[in-house]
Amino acid sequence: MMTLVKDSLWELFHIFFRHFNFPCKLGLVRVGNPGGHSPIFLSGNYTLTVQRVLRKLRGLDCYLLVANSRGSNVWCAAGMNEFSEYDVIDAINVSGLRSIVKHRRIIAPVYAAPGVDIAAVKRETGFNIKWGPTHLDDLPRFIANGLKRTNDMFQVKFGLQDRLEQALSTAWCYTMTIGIGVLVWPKFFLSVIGIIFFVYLFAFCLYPLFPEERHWRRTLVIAGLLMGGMAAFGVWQDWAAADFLIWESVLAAVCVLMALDCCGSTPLHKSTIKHWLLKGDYKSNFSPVIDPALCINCVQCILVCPTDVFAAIRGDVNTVVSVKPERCEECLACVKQCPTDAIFNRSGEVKGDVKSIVNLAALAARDWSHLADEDRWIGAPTRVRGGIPVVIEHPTAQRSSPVPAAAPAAVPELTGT
Amino acid sequence: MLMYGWMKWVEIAPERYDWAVTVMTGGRLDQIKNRIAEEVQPGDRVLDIGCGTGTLAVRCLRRGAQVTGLDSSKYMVEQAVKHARAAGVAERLHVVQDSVTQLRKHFSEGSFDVIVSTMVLGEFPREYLNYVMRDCRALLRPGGRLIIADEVLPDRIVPRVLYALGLALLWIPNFLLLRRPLFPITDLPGVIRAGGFQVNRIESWAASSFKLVRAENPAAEPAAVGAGL
Repeated sequence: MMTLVKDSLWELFHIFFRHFNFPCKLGLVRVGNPGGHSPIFLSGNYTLTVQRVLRKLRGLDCYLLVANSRGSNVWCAAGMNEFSEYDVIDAINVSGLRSIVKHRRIIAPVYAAPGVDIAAVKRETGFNIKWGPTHLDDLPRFIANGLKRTNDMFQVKFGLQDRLEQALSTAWCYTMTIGIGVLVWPKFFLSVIGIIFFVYLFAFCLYPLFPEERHWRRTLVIAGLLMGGMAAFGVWQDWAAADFLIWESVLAAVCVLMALDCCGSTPLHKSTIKHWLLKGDYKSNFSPVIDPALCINCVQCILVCPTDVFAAIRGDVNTVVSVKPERCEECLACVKQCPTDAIFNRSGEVKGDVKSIVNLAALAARDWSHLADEDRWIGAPTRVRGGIPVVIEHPTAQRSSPVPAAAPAAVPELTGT
Repeated sequence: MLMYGWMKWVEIAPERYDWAVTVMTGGRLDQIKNRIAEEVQPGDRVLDIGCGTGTLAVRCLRRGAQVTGLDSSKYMVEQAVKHARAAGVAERLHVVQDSVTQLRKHFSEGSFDVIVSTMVLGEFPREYLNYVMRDCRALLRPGGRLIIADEVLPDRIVPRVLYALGLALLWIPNFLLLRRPLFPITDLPGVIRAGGFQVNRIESWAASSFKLVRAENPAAEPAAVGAGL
């Protein structure tokens, strides 16, 4: 009983402080009674994740290799160049993994892909990195499935628990920022803190019900609902005009703050604040397009993409194309993993959040005019075969046809059916 | 505080790393780097582990040494070369971009006279340090010197508690400036001794929370090389 209470309090603390680094011990953790053929899972050293992964691995004989992500979660650390191939190589070297296990396979969280160059890990240590499920909740099913991903384990999800934790931890950050005000003017600041928590919980819990974030649509709907509710409450409570003005303004400000806060390379809102305010859409700057002349069909981009942007083409020529570039969240895992730099960028711009690709600015700004013809794959219907999405209908144009690259008629006739 | 703005502010830290370190250490580190460089003789083969922007490497180069700088960050390695060029000593600087556990891959036994490292090892836990120390011992020639300056946990209990308190208060500015949680090493001389070195001199600053340790690779004892696993 006491341990349950202790564990719950521990978990609660870490949920509230999710935005802060809590590093845990690095090195090889033995789960159960592992031997030379037991699987190895990789993790960063963010305490909350490691504890949750260990809980998921309970009952299994395996190893958990905890590498240095500076106490941050793997996705952020990978993008920020704080969790790279060097950290994985260090962990392998120091733990003496090569002499502990007989196989050469490490199952890594796919969120590590924006930062960890798996070719470098293989070259330096001999270990092959295989991508595990995107979410650690899927680990038991992944293990039960013979350490293979099923089709529903690829995409980034933003489930209720994740949303709740995100809402609480972010609201808590604001609470700490303005917390000092409680000492000066307790009634006002406690009310503001209450509003912040309410707005975040309301918006994040009901997230799937709101329209997409474009031209303020989601923000206006949320703000409208909440401000209307508050107005009704104010009428019922006989608020003075000044009360209305103050509290409706606070509420509106919190709604706008939340909208701005959701910007970045997240599933919520993929733009930068500037892009969103100026252009009014929520899309990433990066829009991937693959050069078929460079693509070697290693399908790494498909394996690491958390939003299903890419699909394979199987037929006369085996290659990969970009079918849903508008879904890109700009984590740039595909660019990091592509061994031939075959992924071009339609916009020529990047947000600059991702720091783990040394020559990113040059790569992303490359001229892609010779690939205009590749737009014909946008929206092409796909079906999952052998664990990866495959384009099921071939657009009329032949890949190798000598159609001039600029032919503008190519797009409409593609996906007609 | 707007989280996004906060993250943006943190992201720009790499370009201001030197400035941030100087602020965080109150300029102490620059003086210590000067003192380390004074111990380097012309012609010495020096390895700077975690050379960063090359502040110590350039000081050693100015003394006439042959310096190899190792850093895992391409940006840092490029900065080191740039600074060495600006100082006109780049022809004696050799840089390697790799991780600190990969030393044996790049250098053969006894290939250095001096190994230096400042504000790097604090990032690593004890197992990593033991590994790196074993490698350092193998790379140093017999009689070669190891000079390490780093933030450490104070020896005595009262300063230790005060230090922990200070660290907690400095935690947010430190995180904002460096984007690295700092973990002071417990028993730095012990770590160095465990690597088979003979510790010659220990200097401490700020209630022994910062240590400069000079050690030597003893000539007589055959080096037990453990890096090959």
